[in-house]
Formats: sequence, C-alpha cells, structure tokens
Amino acid sequence: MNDECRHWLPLLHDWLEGVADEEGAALAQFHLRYCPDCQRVVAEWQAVAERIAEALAVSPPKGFDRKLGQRLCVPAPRLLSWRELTASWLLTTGAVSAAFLWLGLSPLTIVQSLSDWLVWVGAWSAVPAQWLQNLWENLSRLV
Amino acid sequence: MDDAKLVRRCLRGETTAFDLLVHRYRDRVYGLAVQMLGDADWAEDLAQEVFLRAFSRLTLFDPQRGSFSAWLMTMTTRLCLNALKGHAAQEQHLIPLDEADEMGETLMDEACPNPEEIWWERERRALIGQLLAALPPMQRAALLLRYGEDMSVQEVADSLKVPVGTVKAWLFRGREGLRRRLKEVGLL
Repeated sequence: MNDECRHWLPLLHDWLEGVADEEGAALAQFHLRYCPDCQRVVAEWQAVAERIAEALAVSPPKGFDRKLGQRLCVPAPRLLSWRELTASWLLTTGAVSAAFLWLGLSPLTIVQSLSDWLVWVGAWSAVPAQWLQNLWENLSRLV
Repeated sequence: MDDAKLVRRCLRGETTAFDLLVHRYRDRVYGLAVQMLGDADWAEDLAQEVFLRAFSRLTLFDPQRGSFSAWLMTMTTRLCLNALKGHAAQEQHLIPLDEADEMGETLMDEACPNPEEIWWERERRALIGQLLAALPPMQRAALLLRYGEDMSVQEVADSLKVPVGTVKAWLFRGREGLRRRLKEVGLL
C-alpha cells in the first residue's frame, strides 16, 4: 500500500462505518472503485469485524443457570397497578381514621393538637439560639 | 415474544419471563464479559451480577429509550469497566488455552469435525482474545459493542458516554491494528 492510500484509510473507515458525510462517502466510493489495495483493506476490515463477533460467541460454563437461579430467589420487582395503589391508600387512611376514632379524637382536636405540637417544636428550636445569645453575652462580659 | 413484552410480564410478577430473558442473553453477556475481562471465572461472576442487577432494576428499563439488548449490554460494559478500574494492577488477564477450550463448548459441538480446523479456530480465538486484551479497556469495549453487538457508532458513544469522534478514532485504530496483527500471523 502506498502513502497516498494510507491517507485514504480514515475516510474509508468512516464510510464503512456509515458515519462519513455525503461528500466523504462519494470520495471514498470513487477511490475504492479504482484502488485494489484499498478494496483488499476494506475486505480485511470486514473480516476483522467478523472475527471479533466470533470471539464473543462463547457459552457460559455449566451450572451458570442454576447458580443464577439460586441468587435470583427473591420476589420480582413489580409496578403497582392503579387499583392496588387506590386499595392501599384507602386501607391506610381507613386504619388511621379508625385508630383516631377509637382514641376518641375528632378531626378538630387532631388539627388543634397538630398546631399545638408545631408551636411546641418551634419554641424548642428557639431555645438553643437563646442559649447561644446568653453564652455570648457572658463571654463578652468576662473578656 | 419481544424483549419489552417479556420485561412487562416480569414486572407483572411472572418470574419465568425473566428466565426467558436470561436464556436469550446469557451467551452474549458472558461472551462480552470474557472478552472484556479476559478471565472465565471473573466473567462468570460478572455475568451473574449483570443479570441480578438487571432483575432488580427492571422498573428502570424504558423501551422508548432503546432496546433491552442495548440496555443490558451497556450495563455489562459498564460493570466490566468498573471491575477493571477496581482491579488494582490492571494486569492483563489473558485466556489460557485450556480455559478457552472449556469456554468454547458450543464451538466444539458445532460443525468443525476436522481436528486441524478446530485447532486453527482455537488459535484464532485465543489470539483475538489476546489482541483485544492488549487494548485499553474503553477501546476494547467500543470494538466489542460495535462489531460483537452490532451497535451503531452513536449507540456505542452513548453507551460509553464519550463523543462520537472518539469512538470513530478508537474503532479505526483498533480495527486497523487487529488487521495488521492478524495478517502478520497469517490468520487473515
């Protein structure tokens, strides 16, 4: 193969891969029509691709399926249907409501308790800030 | 039945559908792993890991974004690349001939009655394995996905998360290198 042909190889390869642009593809085909050396190289490239594909045709060893089957003995992942989701939501809501009613809590008292609880949490979250302020003032006095 | 249907059946709780998928792809997954890792035992473990991972992530497979085959092979390639990266010395795992014999059960069973042909075929496979093992892992992956799995250049680029131009360069250099080497030893 001469030096001029070596310059053609990347373009010929792009053409063979189907990634050459229209002009490149036309040039590659034109060159290939009159160049037996490059025709041979292209044929050999195709043979290389076939050899690689052959190299992948290998079966796993015996016992592969059995081993995999043992490791796969877990419930299959699955998507819940809308019906299952609705049933699950109704059951959960029903159970929670029943529990509240059994405890003698009305929806109004639940809302009131919730707001009290939020105020209580808010009040406690302010405590560290108060402590820090006191600590800072005491330190300042000492310094 | 196509792969997407089997996946849907599996997600509805029919585990036998996944067995069909394993049966359909186990040779390809294992073959790719063997050529990527160059070690039969390591490849077997990794192929099992691929199917376990695929099983646990079936809900993430989206047929609109690509085929199940491409999804599975991409997963295999990424796991292989991670495994190679994690392999401290990154030493080359060349496949010894006796192991290659064990792996090539299908080859021996098929139409190659002539011992000389069998020998040549075995030599050729071993050499291809060695030549591929000598390539950098990403370039090897590109060659195997493109020519072994028949993915397009764009699909290979997406799978390996590299630009198309990089894949083109890897394929050209890899294929040209293999062509010269196989020619030197008279296997082409």
